[in-house]
Amino acid sequence: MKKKIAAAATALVAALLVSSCAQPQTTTTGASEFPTKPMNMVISFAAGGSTDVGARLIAKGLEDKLGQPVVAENKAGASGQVGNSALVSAKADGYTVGTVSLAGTLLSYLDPDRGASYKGDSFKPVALYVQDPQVFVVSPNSPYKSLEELVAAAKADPGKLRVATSGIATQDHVAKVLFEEMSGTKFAPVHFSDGAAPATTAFLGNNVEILITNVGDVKDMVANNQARVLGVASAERNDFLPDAPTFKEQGYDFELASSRGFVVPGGTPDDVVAKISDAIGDVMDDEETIKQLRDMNLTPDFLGHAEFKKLWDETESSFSGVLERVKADL
Amino acid sequence: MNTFDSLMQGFSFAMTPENLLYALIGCLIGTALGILPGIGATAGIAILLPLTVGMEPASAIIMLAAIFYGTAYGGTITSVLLNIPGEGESAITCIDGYQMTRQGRAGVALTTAGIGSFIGGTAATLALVIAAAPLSQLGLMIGPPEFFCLILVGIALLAGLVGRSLVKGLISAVLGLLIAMIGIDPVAGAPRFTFGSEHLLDGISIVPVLVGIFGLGEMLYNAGGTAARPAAPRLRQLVPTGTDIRRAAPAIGRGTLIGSVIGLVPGVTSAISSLLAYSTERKVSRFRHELGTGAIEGVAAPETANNSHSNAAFVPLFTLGIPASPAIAVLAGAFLQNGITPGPRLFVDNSALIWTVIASLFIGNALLLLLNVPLVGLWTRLLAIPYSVLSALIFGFIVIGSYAVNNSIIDVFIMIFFGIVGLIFRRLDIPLAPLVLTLVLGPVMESALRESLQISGGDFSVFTTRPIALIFLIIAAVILTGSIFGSKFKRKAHLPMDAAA
Repeated sequence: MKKKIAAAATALVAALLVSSCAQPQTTTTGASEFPTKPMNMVISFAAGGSTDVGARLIAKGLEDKLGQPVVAENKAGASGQVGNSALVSAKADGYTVGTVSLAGTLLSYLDPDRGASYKGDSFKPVALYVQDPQVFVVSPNSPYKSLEELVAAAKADPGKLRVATSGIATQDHVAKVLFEEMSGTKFAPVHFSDGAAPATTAFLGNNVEILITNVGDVKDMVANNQARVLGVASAERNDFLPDAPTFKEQGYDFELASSRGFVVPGGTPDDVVAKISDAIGDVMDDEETIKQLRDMNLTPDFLGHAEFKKLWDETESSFSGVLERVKADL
Repeated sequence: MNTFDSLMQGFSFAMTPENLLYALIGCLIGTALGILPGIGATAGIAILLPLTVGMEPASAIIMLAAIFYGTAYGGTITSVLLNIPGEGESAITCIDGYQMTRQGRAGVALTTAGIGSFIGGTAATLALVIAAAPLSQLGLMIGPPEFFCLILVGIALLAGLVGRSLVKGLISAVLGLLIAMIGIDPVAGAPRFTFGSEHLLDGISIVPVLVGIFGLGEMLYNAGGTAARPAAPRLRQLVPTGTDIRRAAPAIGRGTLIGSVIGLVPGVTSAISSLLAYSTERKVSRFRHELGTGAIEGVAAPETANNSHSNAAFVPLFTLGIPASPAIAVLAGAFLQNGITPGPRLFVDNSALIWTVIASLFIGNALLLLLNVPLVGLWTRLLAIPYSVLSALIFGFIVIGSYAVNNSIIDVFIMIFFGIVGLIFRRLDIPLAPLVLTLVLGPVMESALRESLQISGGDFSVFTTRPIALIFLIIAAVILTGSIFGSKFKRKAHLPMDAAA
């Protein structure tokens, strides 16, 4: 816990340094006075989900830090695409902030079939507040105790072991294809287009051998001895699953998380972006906010606008490299 | 401590005046939310969740759970009185419920629905108390192949819904399937019939379609001025007669069974339970020929089934930690927010709390009965409002409700479009039930088929080698052959009578 806060604080200091270097003394009056009227937050997922609850928590904190009401509105649909479209058509003045799930947003505009009305430069990343790493889990009764054993079995009989994902061309599915290419394996996909709950049910009912999902979704299953984690796709072990090894420890340079953050429309002035980003950083310094996020099984992790942009670009190039092969993996 | 002692202790916590008050508030809010189409349990719980932060965990969960099953009852009121399905799960109730209202039997329909809901909910909660763990295993045994075969049983029951004209029934059923096809397909991830609109990527929301076809369609039809408008019943007409009770009882029994079993399967909405219960009545009830014309079974069975489903849906949450429906997922959020982890350790780690919540499920169901049966008289007074005024109110109401589903104006246009479809259906005497059935079952059937074949590596024998799947498959086959041959004989038998009429 303390480590996380320290990390968040370090990240914040870094973000402050970056932002102050970026625009020395030339802050326009617009930014120093911003905001002078209530702000809107477009939440691109349905009310009640963890994206919604997390975003509303940050919105409440922002109200305190910026001194203006932040009015949240849910625009759910098509894995965030409806909300994203609403955001990019808003005025680029910083008064409309939107939530993004990085993978969902990237996949929506990288895939021409989705007919998205926006591209990468339609957004300016503001801040990231949650990174929920991908995990590969098997049943506690499974013969595979480590990634090594799983990979050996998959190589012996390619395409036999079944992997449940929460739908075709979702982040879980990208994770599957990325790992296959990295390890030289092939698994049979079972896509549950209705999302994580049916996929988890099929996993618990022993209809598939492997489930790809996020730490937040398996934390309780692991505690209840319903699942065994073979690998966590983060640089270091996750606080929720201290006993679970990372992919890195087992020799696979594989890092992928469900990243949730805030964006503004592409033309928003940089100093306004920096101001909102810093304010979110302040909110993420608050111990109570961190605790509430963790209570929802989310892994709090703050990145300022510059680092978020870097992560965005890296993830985009890694996704666009495999998207064709992901879509062919039926 | 054994189960009974734990439950009694739960009751002693749940019966404190404070917790009773929260359960009552939850039931009231739930009923009110259920009345407004579009805003269902999921949105209701989500909106109120932040308000419960300072409350005792047990009180918070009691209130939110009461909202959850209260909405199911609220939807019934508008379905029966105004022909507006508040939610997908009460859509099928419109058919016989509204016919009963037109015959001046609105009170009987609402009272029966209340009693059925109470019995169904209580029975499912009892099952939860007695056998939560084995039941959850049963839920897990219904994987995609079993589920696909179960849906086939539902589709086979379609034959009973088509009514007099097979062609008209099929028009309705196929239109439902076509609407269900819109959106990203679960097989290849490609958009189907979305015409480049991202609002259609998720498919068409069921609520605006149903509200349009039932609610607006009826209003437009009545505007023609030919149909008999419902009148407010007198007080003595509110109470079910002995005949009503005798006819409703078996339907309530079947509804309880269907809802309690299907509710155990994670990911299945209660709309499926109420549809299967209604279709079953059309097939097996002694008065099946009366269904569609205002038969009490057509209200009792689906309303009982959706409430027992709602209560049974707690089993996967409590025992496996899987939220069975979106509304339950939000409720699971309330557990997490209070530091309680839903799952198999719940009964060990938070024993006192969980038994309090289970006790409150019983109390909540009883409160709903006490609250709603006396209020039936008040609700039916709605019908005393002059129709010209009432229809304007209803129109405003269904526009807001359709908008509220996704905060999207497109849903309002969809609702209006399907209102016109509903008018055409009524003019041409096309039945609505097959459309509702295929609209709800179509998408789940498609994903279950695809998931099954991915699990089996493309081998269709997965449906015949898994015992439960095979049993459902045989039932579907029996129903289908039965209705093919049955209808042949029936037609012969009734031919002279039909000709005479």
